[in-house]
Amino acid sequence: MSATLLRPAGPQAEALAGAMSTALAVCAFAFVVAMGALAAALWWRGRRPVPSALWLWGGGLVLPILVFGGLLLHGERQTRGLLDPAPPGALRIAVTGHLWWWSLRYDAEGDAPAFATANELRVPVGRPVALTLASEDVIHSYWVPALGGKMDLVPGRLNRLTFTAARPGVYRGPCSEYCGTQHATMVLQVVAMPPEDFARWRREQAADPPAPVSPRAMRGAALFAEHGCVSCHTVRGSSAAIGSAPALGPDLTHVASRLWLGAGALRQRGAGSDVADDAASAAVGQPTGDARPALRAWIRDVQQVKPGARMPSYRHLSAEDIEALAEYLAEAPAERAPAKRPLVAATP
Amino acid sequence: MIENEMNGDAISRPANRLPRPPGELERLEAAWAPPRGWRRVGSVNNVFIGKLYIATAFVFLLLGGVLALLIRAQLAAPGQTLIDAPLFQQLFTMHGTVMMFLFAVPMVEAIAVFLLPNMLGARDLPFPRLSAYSYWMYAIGGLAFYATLFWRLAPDAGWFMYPPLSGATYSPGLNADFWLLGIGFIEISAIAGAIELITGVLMTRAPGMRLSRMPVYAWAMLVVGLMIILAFPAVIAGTALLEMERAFDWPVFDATRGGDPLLWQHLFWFFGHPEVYIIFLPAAGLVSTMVPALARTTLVGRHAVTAALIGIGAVSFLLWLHHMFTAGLGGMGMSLVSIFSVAIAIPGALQVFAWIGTLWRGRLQWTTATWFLVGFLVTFVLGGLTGVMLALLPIDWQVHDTYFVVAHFHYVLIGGMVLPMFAALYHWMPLWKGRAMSERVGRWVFGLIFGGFHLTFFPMHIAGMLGMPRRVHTYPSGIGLELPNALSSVGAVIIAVGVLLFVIDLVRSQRGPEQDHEDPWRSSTLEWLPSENYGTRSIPHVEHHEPLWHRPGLHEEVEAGVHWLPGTITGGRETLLTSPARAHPLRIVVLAGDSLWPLVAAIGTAAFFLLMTVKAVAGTVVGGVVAIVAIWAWLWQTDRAPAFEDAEAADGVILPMGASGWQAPSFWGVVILIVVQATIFASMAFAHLHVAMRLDVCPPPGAGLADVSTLMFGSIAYALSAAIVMATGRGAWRAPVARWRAVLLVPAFGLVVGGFVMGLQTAWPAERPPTLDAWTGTLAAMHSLQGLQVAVAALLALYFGARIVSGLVRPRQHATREAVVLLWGWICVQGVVTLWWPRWIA
Repeated sequence: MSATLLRPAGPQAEALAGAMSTALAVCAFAFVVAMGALAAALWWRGRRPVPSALWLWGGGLVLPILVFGGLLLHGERQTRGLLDPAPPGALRIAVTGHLWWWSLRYDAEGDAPAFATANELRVPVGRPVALTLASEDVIHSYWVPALGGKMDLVPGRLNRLTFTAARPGVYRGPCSEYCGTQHATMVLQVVAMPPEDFARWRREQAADPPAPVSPRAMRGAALFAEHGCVSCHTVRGSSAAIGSAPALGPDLTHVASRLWLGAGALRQRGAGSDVADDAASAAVGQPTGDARPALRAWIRDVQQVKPGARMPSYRHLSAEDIEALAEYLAEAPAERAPAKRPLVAATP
Repeated sequence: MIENEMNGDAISRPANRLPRPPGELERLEAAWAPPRGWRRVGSVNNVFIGKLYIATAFVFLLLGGVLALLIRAQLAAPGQTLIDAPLFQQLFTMHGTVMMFLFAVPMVEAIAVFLLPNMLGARDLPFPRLSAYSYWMYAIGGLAFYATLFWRLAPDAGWFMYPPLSGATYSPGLNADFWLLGIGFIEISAIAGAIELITGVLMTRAPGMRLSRMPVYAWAMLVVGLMIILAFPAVIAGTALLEMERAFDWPVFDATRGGDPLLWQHLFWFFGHPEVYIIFLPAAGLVSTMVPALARTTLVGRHAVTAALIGIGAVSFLLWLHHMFTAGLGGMGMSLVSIFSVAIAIPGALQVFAWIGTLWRGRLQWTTATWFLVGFLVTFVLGGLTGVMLALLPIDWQVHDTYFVVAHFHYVLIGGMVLPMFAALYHWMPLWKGRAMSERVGRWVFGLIFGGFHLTFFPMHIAGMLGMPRRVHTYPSGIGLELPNALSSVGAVIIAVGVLLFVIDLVRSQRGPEQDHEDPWRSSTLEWLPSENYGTRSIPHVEHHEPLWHRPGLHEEVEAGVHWLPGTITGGRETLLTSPARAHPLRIVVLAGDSLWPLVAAIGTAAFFLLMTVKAVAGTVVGGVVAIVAIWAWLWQTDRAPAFEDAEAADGVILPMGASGWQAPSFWGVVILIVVQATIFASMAFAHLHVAMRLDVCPPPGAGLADVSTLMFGSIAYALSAAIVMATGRGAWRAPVARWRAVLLVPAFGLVVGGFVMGLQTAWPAERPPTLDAWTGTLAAMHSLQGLQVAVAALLALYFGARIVSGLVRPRQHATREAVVLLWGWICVQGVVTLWWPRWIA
């Protein structure tokens, strides 16, 4: 998983990293000049008188104007076009910040329907992505360092940000405006995938999950309605979904396909490979492993995993009930699940 | 008086005959002797208050540092659960708040209270009781505020308290209220300090110390004083608006009702950005004083450095938007702010090279202070350069609100203020009790603090670039954050050891009786003259910008009483008033003496604000009454004509005694106070304008505007009221004001109330209560501010009336009258603008 701006994975981040490394080099140079003068003033015995004007005009005016002016111009050039509106063919996604998770809504395009998901932003490599950023409660900030700059999510305002992922990979995006108790656990994962993988993922996400078949999953579906999970969470296609009410909690349709649970609180699935090297690039971001242990842990004791999260712990449920809920949300009969399988086996 | 043609001075150096008459020194000492026993707490002298003030601010540095250590303990390793998130958030909010509001700003003001009068050759600050009041308010309020941590009631929304997080919905507890009310009133104390500094620097300098000869430090404090009175009101207005939103549900920052969370950021950073220069400029002034003293040569480019201070002060008000580069405001404005933010580094660089040039030219004495100054230069230059980086949009978009920023501002704040402060403590410690601190231990203290600092904060740059946002209570392993954080935590412990060593050496070195300091570094500025509570025996006549180097005999002359005002004339505490630019001696004024009232007033004020926060109504009222009674009692003793019309300030130089009208420091103090009020009011008016501009139609449907005739009536009422108050005290300079004229204040007050009520009735219709939307909410806030002014008018009328009835408004003691006229005039102006504002905006 990449989280640093020093290893940019897209043109925007590239431009910003370029500005950063140039500035670092130039400032290091300026620092050395100033410190050289200081060291000489302190310790060099052979120093000759220097006219005051040279210190004041040279060091105090010409040097900073040249150095800083150059940096300004360079930064301006590097960032030209970064704030332009997204190009027409961009993938449009609405990102909304909540305490402490991200809701995501992919716009419909062509015959691909719109759909909602949460906390995991999957995008195709090479195609511009246009985000609209809004907040449901307090100010948050979207920041995926490897993919470009930062933009605040301000209540009452709609901000925009465009980025393109050049390489497949999983990129970490921590909320970077302090937003309360679980600010540290409000992480957006961006998964950049090859376009064909993305198209498949998109198709699967937009589709309703299969009706539960195993008795345990069916019981889980019933419990999901019975214990009021539905008042905050949506699982599309289930009888318990309550339509288009504002989401109080993340949309849980296909939740088991996500790499993390609780906006970065719990690792739910492996991800093939996190970093794109050529050999493994096909497997980047492919969920592996069993989602149910994480789901169980989360449901049983949210307040232990993510204290302060706006969901109660369900410690009072029996282990069997929790197992059933996990089974239901994992959307697959466990008996037949291979140890390591690719994406969720939903058929459109 | 002989014209001194040589240097263009209109006054010459006094040459009082020696020896001085017997008993003169004893009378001077008696006049300035502090009260004994427990009454000592009523001492208002700047030496006493200044020492207490510095010590208290230093205690807050330690208290804030303890919080930092706890923070570093939690962050030492990934995924720790040593401190839970809510407590951690209280810790970092308190750390930032304590360091900024209870340590840094008070410390720079405290050093000025202690050092500035002596450096200017004044006997004290112009309003000693105001200094005492503001100190006690800060000390009591600050400790009570800090104590909220022990009840887990400390604020937890970050030191800049962004709404909506700090609003009633997301911070329902008292925590945020403690911040808003606690810090709100501590800011009042900072403003009181600023009034002292400005009037002190401009009106009480030693004769001959024209502006061009004034120490750079005094320039720095003058600029800082002006910055405080322009910057702090914005955050006072902001906190008032946020508190009203929290307490009365008047939406201002609530986006669901037409408010705007970014409005808070504008108000906060309009204060917050100048704030960092309010902290840095005094330190820069101290550096500009210490570097020449230690290098034994005058400062390179004295005037350029002074100009740089002024330039930084001015430009710092244009940069607040760079804290909002990622808020999505966009447009040309951001590029312009980016350019300004880079440009402010130029006067910074100029000062740095002036200091380096001075060191280059001089023959340096290597004291502990020198080491701290070198450490300051290294650290501050690095912090300045990362500041330039952050001013560049493409860099800020990445590292804004990350540990890179945390690293940057610790470099400029610790580098730019704390290291110079340690240098200053070592350098000026001999002025405290005549005892220097250990130079040997000092090297260790420096090494530990400097090394620990860089070990703590340099890795934070890297943590930020690796993707660590600020204010997280923990971070995951596996993304490279383990090492930088572990180093930071180790570094923090090393700093703590260094500070502990400093404290130990401080206690060790300052034991024992007071002794003469004997000017250990052979400095050039006046504070190194032999001095007592009253400052120097006689006030030195200044002929050069490095007076002690220019006239080596000044020590003895001043001590012998050759110079100005070698004794006391009335038996009270006197100082010279000099002209602002050329420092001609104009008058001798008698300063207010020791009194317990400022302390009582401070206790009352603190009780008022703190008990209001916890909604203890009875206690709040009692606190308010105590404060008002105490301030009344304190003021009642002031504005008295000295016993003599004029007196000899030096042999053959007769100066008038006492000051009224525009020559009195109190007049200018009140003028500054009005500037503060005007800025608070302007900030609120801006808030209303800001939310109005976000409306589709203005005024919003159904709001309606008062018709012009009503507004005219209101305006006339205010104008008439101001005219009556002016007439009430007319002719006070000629003859005592007749007692019956106090009656005039009744209709004057009635008219103010009338104007206010008229405004209230027409401002918004009943079906649009202030809770409805931000437009009405901000309007209600403006009217509330005017309501507060009406209450002030009542007190002014009562006090002024009582003075008139007691026959105290008379020739040579009518400063009260001028103060009341000025304040009353502003109340009326503000009232009129409040009436018309929504109509003008619409």
